Amino acid sequence: MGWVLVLCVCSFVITGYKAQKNSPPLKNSVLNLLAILCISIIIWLASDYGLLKSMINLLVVSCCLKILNLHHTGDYQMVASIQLFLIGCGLIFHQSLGYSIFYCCLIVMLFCALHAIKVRETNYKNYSKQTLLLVLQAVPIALVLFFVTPKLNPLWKMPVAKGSQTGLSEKMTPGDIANLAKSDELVFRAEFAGDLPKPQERYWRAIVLDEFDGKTWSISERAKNFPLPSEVQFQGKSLDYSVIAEPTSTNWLYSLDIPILIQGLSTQRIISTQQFQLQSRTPLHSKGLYVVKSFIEQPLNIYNGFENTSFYLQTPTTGNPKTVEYVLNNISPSMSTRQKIDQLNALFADDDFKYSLTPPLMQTNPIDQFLFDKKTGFCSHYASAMAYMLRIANVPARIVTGYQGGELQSNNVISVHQFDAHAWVEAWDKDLGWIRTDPTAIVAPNRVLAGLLSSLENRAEFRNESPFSLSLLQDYALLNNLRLLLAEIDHTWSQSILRYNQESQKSLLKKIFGDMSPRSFSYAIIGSFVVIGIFIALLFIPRQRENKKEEQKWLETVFSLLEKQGHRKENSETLQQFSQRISPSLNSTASKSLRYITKVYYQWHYSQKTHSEPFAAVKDKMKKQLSTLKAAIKK
Amino acid sequence: MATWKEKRIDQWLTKRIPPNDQYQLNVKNTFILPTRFGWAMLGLITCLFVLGTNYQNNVILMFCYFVFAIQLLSLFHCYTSFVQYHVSFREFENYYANENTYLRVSLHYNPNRSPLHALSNIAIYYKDHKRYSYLADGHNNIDLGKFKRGSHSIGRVSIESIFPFGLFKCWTHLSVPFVLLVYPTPLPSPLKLREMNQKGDDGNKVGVNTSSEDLQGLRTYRETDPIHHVSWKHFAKGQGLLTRDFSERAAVSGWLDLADYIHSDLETALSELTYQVNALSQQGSLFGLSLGKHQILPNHGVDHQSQCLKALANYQLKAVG
Amino acid sequence: MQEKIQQCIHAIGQQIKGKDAQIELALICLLSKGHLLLEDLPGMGKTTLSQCLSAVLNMQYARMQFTSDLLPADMLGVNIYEPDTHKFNFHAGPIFNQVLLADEINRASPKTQSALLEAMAESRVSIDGKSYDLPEPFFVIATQNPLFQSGTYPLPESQIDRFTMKLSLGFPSKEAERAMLLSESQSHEVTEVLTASELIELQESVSQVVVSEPVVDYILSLVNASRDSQEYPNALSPRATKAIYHCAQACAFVNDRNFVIPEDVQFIFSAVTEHRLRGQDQFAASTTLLSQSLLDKVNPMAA
Repeated sequence: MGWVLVLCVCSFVITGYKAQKNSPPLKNSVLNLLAILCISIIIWLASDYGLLKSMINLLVVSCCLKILNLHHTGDYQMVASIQLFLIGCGLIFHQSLGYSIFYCCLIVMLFCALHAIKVRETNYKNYSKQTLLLVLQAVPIALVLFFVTPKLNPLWKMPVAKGSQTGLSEKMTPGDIANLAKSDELVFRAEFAGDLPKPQERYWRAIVLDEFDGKTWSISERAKNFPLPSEVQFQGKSLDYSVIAEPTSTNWLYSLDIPILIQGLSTQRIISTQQFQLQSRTPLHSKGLYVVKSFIEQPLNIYNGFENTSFYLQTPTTGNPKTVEYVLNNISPSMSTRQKIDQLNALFADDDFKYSLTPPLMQTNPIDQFLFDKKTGFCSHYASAMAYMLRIANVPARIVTGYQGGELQSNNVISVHQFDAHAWVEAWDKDLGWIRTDPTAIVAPNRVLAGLLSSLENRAEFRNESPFSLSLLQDYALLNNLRLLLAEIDHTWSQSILRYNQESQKSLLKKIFGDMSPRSFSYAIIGSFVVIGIFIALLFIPRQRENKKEEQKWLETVFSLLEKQGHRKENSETLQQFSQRISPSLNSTASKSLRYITKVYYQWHYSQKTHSEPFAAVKDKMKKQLSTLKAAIKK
Repeated sequence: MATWKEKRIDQWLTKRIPPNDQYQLNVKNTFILPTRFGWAMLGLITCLFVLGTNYQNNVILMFCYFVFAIQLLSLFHCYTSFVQYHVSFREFENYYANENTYLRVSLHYNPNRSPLHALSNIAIYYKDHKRYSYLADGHNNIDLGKFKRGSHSIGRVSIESIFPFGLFKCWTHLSVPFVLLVYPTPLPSPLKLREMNQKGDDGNKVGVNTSSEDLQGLRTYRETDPIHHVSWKHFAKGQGLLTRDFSERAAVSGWLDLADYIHSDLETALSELTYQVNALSQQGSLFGLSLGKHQILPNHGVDHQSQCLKALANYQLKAVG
Repeated sequence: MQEKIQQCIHAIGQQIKGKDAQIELALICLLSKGHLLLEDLPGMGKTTLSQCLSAVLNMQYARMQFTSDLLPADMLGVNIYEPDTHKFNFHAGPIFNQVLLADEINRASPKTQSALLEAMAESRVSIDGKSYDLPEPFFVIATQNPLFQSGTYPLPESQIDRFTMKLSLGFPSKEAERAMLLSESQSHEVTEVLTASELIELQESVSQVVVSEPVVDYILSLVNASRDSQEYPNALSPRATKAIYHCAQACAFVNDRNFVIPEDVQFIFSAVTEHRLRGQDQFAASTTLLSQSLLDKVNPMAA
């Protein structure tokens, strides 16, 4: 809710101002009034926003108000814990790499603030450095815990956020999709296991529209379910791919024809409809991943004989007289379906038709106006006109909206943006089933082959509409590469985050520990806790300060060498006293070399105010004596 | 019942942390538990786990485990940073009842401690007086507030640290082995001295000036005193070896007697006596103090003064320690 | 130069048998421009040692017996009215000598003690508003009886700190005492070895002896150890640190070395610090030397 953000900013500004002025905290009564007001507004609006969002807004509001009167350490800690919880909530909605990094920064800052409480140090650099170190120590432990702790199924159903629906809508009035074309938001990415589809075959089906009222296509209320054939045989090539879909708050998912869902690898519960669509059971509020096998060479005729196609002939009884007349004049009932389609498509081959992102408005009899008057339109105009004409020509037809094309991001990843939104027509043939026909491809073949932005004309239009889009950077090779790299990283991140589930945890642990019986699984868990324990122990084993100088370390090796022979140096003894004390009990070679070492060391260490020659040079001098000493005492 | 429980706890503490003037904090005398915030954080971790599991959200789960790891590390850091400290108490100075008293504590840390613990901070907490303050490295004077006259045993003070992040509290109860001696508040009053050799007599209460210009009085013999200063007259009377003290000091001498000062109540009388003891000592006078049965023979000097003050402080109170 | 010092030690050694270490320390004290406090029972050779020192060095020498009625003026000198000239003339006291032997210093009243120690610290005296410089070199050898003897005024810490070293000779070994008795018949005159100017020159070259960084660290950690621990009633003052530094230089010089090694510090350490560490309870009933426990605590090879 917008006003919550405003409240946030206000409270921050006030807090900052107060900190500058050292003024006392606000009165409780004022704050309580404010709180009651805010809570009542939130409750008032709760039905619009849904339970989850209302709760989160409530937390944000309480946090904002609490910031205004912080008294004790407890207050700070309370705010911090609410904020940590809010970060957790934020992660429900956003899990992309960018957001994750942003939240990481917030977490570090929060812990910095917590660390700063009750610390004498006022230099923020010091404690932020310390906090960072502590936080970094926690990362490996968190990782081990993450990979080892068993993942559970959802314990209970949680409220979901009602988001504003984005992307394709369930109604299409010619011109609608043009709005989408002005956005370069990501819709989904598909990663292919093997071959990629050819550019002209990348028709990503999403929604099938079958009801036309003269202006708008929509989904009819009619039951489109029919008994299924007992066995379906697929033939031809198939493509395997996984799709990571961005949240849309709708149920529609995207796939190439004909999709067969691989269940079990998906984050969502998905059903496939008899219109060859994939549909999520719950609206997609956060990123979703699903794995699909598409038989692209199989004609859409698998339900031939089962499906009742008669209602795909529905047309409004009035309107668009010119079109009706045109169709009746040009099409004879004796023609085959294929011939009818070709005949009607021929109309668009006329040079007068133009493809444009900003078509003129067509209010009354829009199809008449489009076909015979303006002759300028977007894909929805062409699809709408074509489907209408086909229905008049007594061919069952429907409009499919979805996306066409997509940007090849790396060798096997296609990313599809909103401006790839497209609409095309499917016509029914008795033998071939549903035949895809795309009148836009006739008018603007480049749109289908190379995407919307391939034509300069369109790009200029696109630029006018959304001047700050990153996609316009395609002209600059370096920046474009950078953009693609960022997209790639983001894809890998979402892929790995979404992919990791019970199955992959099991397979990962299998890889590491071999086959998992329940017992070895528990061993693995115990083992990992041992690993964490060792890690922590390593952090806390008291270490000698590593600021000893080189010569001291060297001397210590000499002393420890002699100590092994039973000659312990007393703490207060100097090297000379020590060597004099023990020389009677050493043989002559050993005591001679020890004396030599003592002499050289003293000469170097004490004879000058600061050392003129480095210890390394002196060490070389004593090296030989040290080895003789070693040899002599070993005897 | 409560006192019985407290007694048991106290007994157990005494056994576990025997009183000493210095303590190296270690596993024996340290307790550690999550703070309120720490418990809240554990609750938060549970919430995050439910959130992450129910939404099947790996990032939230990761975040949850991260917070848990912080909690775990905090436990260890809290303890290890705490045991780097060495606390030693020093003997109390002596205070008057109207003064704030101070506990003298020195704090040292192990110079080898990890640089990560450089920011750790420990606080001292004195339950009986609700004093809470941070300790600096080196010497500290902790304000304990005002005390009534008498000898007080401070008992146990708590030392605690919530480093880092305030998730865990490490604390210990250390007993202060010294006795805090609080003198009565000095209260100005007219001087009432009884003459030296007429003590006990009600007759002469006026201050006596000794006739000799130089001879100030008698004090107990010290080894370094010249032999011809010994007052043989007193020795012959069996009063032991006393030295005749020559000095230029004001020649007021006599006995201070509690009975002369009691008008309204005992405390005021003691306060007035305190004032007199200080005043006489400052003048260097020779005086004795008579508190009912308890009598302090005439003398002068700092030792004598503190002896008198101690007697005044503990008068009719059970002396501690 | 070095052989002269050896000659000195030898010459004094002829008079005081078996006390070479103490003689060397006394010379070190002299070379580091410090003052010496000798403490022992009567008859242990304190006076002999101080006499020998001044004889060997060929310096003006005065001996003062301190008693409880000695006044500062007796020591410093006094302005006397001369009827002939109608003027006050300053008659210098025994302090205007290069070597002053203050015998039984703790018998004098604190007033006199402090007058002497002031002169020692500033190397000048002021009488009736006029200040007089003391001769160069100026060297005080004070002797004191152990404090448990009667009729003594203990020196306060502040004054005891002014003495660079405190030595006690102790009983001689059986052999040394035998040699002493046998040589009694043929008494040697102590021959002078050094002149005052030569001594000043030697003192100058002592200050040129190199003290390397590790040795300085060692001295500092010794001093800090005395400050950190509560075992020591009096921590070592910065003046003590300076005294250790200079005496270690002199010790290296006496041993014919132009740089200081930790052994030098250890050799002079007890003599320089013991009396400062103890302060007033000089004869507290502890048998171990406080300075030795300090030495045991600090590892000389750690720096």
